[in-house]
Amino acid sequence: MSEGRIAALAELARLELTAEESARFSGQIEAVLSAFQSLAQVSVEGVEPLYHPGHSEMVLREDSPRDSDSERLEVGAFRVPPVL
Amino acid sequence: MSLFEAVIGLEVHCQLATRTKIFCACPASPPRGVSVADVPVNRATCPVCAGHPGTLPVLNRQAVDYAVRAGLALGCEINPRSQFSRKNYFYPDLPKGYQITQFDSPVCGEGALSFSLPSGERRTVRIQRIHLEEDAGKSVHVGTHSEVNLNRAGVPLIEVVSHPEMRTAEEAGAYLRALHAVVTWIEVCDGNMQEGNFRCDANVSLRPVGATEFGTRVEVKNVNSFRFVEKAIAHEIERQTAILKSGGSVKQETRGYDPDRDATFSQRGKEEAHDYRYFPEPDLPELTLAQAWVDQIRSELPELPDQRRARYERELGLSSYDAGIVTSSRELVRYFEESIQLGASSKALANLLAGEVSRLANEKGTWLGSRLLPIHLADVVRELQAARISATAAKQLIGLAWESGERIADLIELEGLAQVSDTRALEAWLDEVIAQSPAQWSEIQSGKDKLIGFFTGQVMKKSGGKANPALIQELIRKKVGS
Amino acid sequence: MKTSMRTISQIHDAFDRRELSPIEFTRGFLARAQASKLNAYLTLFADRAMAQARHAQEILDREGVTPRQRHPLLGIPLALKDNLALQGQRTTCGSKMLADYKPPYSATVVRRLEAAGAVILGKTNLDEFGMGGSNENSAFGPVIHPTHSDRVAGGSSGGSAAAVAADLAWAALGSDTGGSVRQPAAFCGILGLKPTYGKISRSGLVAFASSLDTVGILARSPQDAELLLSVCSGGDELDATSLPEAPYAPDESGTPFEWSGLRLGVASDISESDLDPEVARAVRLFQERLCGLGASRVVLDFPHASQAVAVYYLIAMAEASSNLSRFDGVRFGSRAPEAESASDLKGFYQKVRSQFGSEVKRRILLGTFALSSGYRDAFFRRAAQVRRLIARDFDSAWSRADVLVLPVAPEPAFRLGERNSDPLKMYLADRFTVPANLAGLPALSIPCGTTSEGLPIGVQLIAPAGREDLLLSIARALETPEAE
Repeated sequence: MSEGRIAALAELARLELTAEESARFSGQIEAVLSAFQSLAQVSVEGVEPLYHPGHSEMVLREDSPRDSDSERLEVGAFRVPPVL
Repeated sequence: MSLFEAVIGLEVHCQLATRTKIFCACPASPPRGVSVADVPVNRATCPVCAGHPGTLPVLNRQAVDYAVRAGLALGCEINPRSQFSRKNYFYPDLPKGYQITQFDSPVCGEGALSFSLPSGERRTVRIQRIHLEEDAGKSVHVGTHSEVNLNRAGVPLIEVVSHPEMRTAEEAGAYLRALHAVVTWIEVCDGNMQEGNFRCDANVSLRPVGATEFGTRVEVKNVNSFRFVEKAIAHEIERQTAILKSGGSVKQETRGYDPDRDATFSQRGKEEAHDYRYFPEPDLPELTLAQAWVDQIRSELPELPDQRRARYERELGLSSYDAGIVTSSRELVRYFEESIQLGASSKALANLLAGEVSRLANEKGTWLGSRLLPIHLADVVRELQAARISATAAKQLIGLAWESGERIADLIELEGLAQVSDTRALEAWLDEVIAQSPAQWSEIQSGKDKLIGFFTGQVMKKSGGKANPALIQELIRKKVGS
Repeated sequence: MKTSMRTISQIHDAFDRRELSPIEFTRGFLARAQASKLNAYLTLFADRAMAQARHAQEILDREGVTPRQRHPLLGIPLALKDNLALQGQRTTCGSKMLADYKPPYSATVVRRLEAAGAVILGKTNLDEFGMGGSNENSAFGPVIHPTHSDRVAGGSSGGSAAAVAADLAWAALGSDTGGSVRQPAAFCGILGLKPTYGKISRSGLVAFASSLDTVGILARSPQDAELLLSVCSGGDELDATSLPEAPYAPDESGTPFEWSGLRLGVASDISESDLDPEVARAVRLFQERLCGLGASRVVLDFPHASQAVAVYYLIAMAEASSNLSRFDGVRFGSRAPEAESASDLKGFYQKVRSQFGSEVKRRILLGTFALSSGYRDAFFRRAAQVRRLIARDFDSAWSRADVLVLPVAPEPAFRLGERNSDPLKMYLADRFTVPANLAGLPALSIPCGTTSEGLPIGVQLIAPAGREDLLLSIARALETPEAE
């Protein structure tokens, strides 16, 4: 994996990498991905992906406000650099 | 004669009228009578909707119920199994760094919405899907920095996505109004556009007439009133037509709409488009909808606005326009039905509702604070039909009753709005007017009927608008004839 | 006196006979923890723990005997892995990012432990956000192995495992996403239970990989593991993936375990050459011991086992890349000093998020890649498809075996600093533990001997979903005199 590609991923993930990290990660990620290439050999035709282990079904919450305000956060506005 | 036709698709976000947020027990909206702007910043937040580490979403049953209700009202297929996904991007008002939404399998599939254009012509626009998702918070720019308010974060939304098959701004506006009527009618959304509870993104592209492929599409984001949506689309069609006619090509981008300049402006180009890295939300198992639940929701669905509109046209002989407006909200229908119970005649009443009452409601943006009652409407219609008040006075009375809630009879008295039908008074005013305009009077006498209007107007003016215009005309004709 | 006690039940007996008081018991743990050089704890709650111990003492004095039904953990000093939220107390996840973070709420398990009367001694060290197998990825330094100071304690729940093994806590909670409870338990010579996915609420467990994460238990005895499981388990309305069921009921029947019906599954594709010879031998002897007691041995094929590490890491990293997006410095957590002066949003995020350690950054990058446009189907989605195949392999195994026996790790605790330059090699060492997480199955790491150098070795049992009872019955039966 090229350092250019690493830089693009880092930007997408909002990570800032030093030159040293970028070079190191590039080799390591390349090694990991090439080891994982074996996945491409597995026949997966018609196999539904498994995203949730177990057999859990969605349990829904009733639309009732909580009893107390103890969980409420007491904070003012969060301050960040300009969004515009 | 344009060589291009527009292709318009709308994505509408409706805030669901649940008590709590979609994934936590925080209030989804301020207490009754309190404006969103008056809730202290971040007051309506908890560790879950503020995205604290370790917190997990738990889906609100009522939000699912409302989404299904909307789907059924719009004739959508209801998917017995649907899935939530994460849409990943960084923004300060998105606490978790991803939005929980539905991607590959939304709760509702294909449906359709039928509605009338202002001309009375009927249209049906197909709906692609309705999915459930959480709203983001709000960032406000303050001087050198921005401030984030998460009161809105996690408020439940449905996004109703139409097929791209509308052709004009007017058609898109009519679709939007009809959709607004449906979601407010079935009470899944309060429809308040000022507070952002019903907002629209429009996808607009142009293609040569007769082409089947779509042109490059521009998304106009977050326009918050019917009128602005129509204007934004109209402007966007004009802008793209000009580009194409001059041989240029439209850039794929996201644009905003500036109502002050009545123009759209570029917000984000394609090259800056996000890679959202959608994947199934591991914190929420598949949502399964038991058929019995869907059937239950279906059985509780009321007669829909379009069905009632057809019935009013058929049974009461209302014009298509009036019937459409009367059935555009539950509030108007309630006034209509109750005023009829109180003896108002349906056509005159529909006229009043479609005219002054809906104008006023639009202007105020809310029925909250209105003191107008059905009895007011019934009384105004009766007075109007008995010619005891003028049409102008009727409008005034509705405005006064909206504010004060006083009885119509008292208001007429108090404001002196009774129509003057006393012949002697009218004759006295007419004589004064004749004395002031002798030349015109002699023209009338020589057969120039057009001037009847002039004299009627002058008498009305003298009476302060209170004179009965029909009677004045009668008097003028009698005087000319004698 | 204390050395003779192995279970919470025995401690309660000692409380009841007034041979031991909750206050002195807790004080002893705190003193040892304060003196310890293992770096097992990141935070000790000395005052808070003593207050809880005094409260336990009051209850004991009032009731006369330990009310074991109402307060099954009365006066028991426990440690929590520092990725479990405890309201108002520093919860770091082993990350600089959360060095001063105090959550506004407590994890469901933590609330349950405290309601059961437990004393929370402190929060234990871990690989940053649970990402690692040696505890060397902690921003606060590695945990030292309790008996071999040049060795790692394992990870990512290394602090919890070392604390229990070194008697700095009676028992501890950890979390297991791909072996993070079982492997350090094996390295330190204690029991490590990874329950069925959803058995214990994840609410308040800071997520690493949501579809794989489980809260796990590090204990000295199967009885304690069972008791802790009974307190921690049971449906939770704050976690939609928690199983909506009653808490685990410990087996109190006293019926002896029936070895003769037990079918022991072993995987055909694990060759001993693949393992450290002493580990291979210990696991083989363990199997022989069980067969000697009456169990039968079945060799099973796991056609997709060789893919487990790739599947696990692609899914875990993809989920992690998303789960860790919330660490953006906006609402909580530390903002790097440079972030405060950032003039634009992107710069702000990058400065804040550069506080992640190398392993976390590496995994976020890989996970971002696995989900990115154009690669998602070939990597993330395909991994999820093969995950299904791995789960099916287990399903068919259960028709021929009741429980599977596997090594926990291919070797015993390795030397500090020995592995951190080769992430791939670290990942591959997880090959025996990740399958249970992929399929959501319960698994137990049991001590099964030591190397010639005296390093503990663990063996792993995996059972069908919901069969923690089977795992714990076997572990309990192995401690009876007949099984020695």
